[in-house]
Amino acid sequence: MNIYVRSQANDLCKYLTDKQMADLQLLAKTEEIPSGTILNKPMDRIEHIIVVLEGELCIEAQNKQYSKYCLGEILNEIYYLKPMPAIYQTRAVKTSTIAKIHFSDLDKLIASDPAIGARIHAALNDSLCIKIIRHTHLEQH
Amino acid sequence: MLSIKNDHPLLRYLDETEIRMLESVCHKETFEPNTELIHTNQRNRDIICLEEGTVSIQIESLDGTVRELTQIHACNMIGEMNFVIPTRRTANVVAVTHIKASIYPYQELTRLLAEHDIIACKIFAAINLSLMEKYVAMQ
Repeated sequence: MNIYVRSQANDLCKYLTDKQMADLQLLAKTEEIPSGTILNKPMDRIEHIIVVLEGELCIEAQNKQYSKYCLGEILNEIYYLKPMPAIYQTRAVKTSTIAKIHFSDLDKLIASDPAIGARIHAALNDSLCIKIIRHTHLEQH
Repeated sequence: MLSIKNDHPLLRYLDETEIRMLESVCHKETFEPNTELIHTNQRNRDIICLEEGTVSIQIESLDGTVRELTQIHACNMIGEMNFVIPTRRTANVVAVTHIKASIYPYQELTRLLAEHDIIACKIFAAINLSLMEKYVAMQ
């Protein structure tokens, strides 16, 4: 998105000011996930957006790995936008640290300040476009 | 959670006043069957909302063979990926039937969004919903 300038490293906060990011971080729960841990299985109900702070996660189904997510990348935004059962299993490829933000907390933050809302939705625009491009790339190879 | 107020793919979260502001930057166009709305490699980043009709999304291989990827019908938007990411157009979009479309030019739209956070939030949320539906349909 070209109307904002990236100012933060992680993809969810990329367009937020330091103060806005601090507000978002108050809502986040940080967890260390041992390598091999399954964060969710297909058909599970998803309630958190995840940002990878360290390590590596992957999404997979029927033993086929679809995509890896590394430092700063976002998972689960599709379920935030439209609640539905999980399509993929999410697994920690390496021991990882993640930040989890509950969908309802994110909703409250966005509703409380449209400047934050616009910047978070713009960040999600970018993340979804990259996922579509990755998926197209995978299909072509 | 933003509430959906209408079935327009881009304006679905906007109230009447906000819709009038968006209409000030939009222009309407019609296309006859078999005419192109978008051509591969164009740099244009406008968002096109289909009000009526069906379009075919097509890619052309190096030998000139054209393959249809999908068809998109009224009440959907096209071109939103190029609005978000500055790449050239990656497919041809060709009218299958008579088309009525609302076109939101990139420069005018982004200028308006940069000045109005509430509208920007709602427009980006609508784009997210469209992107999410396309992503899920690919699974």
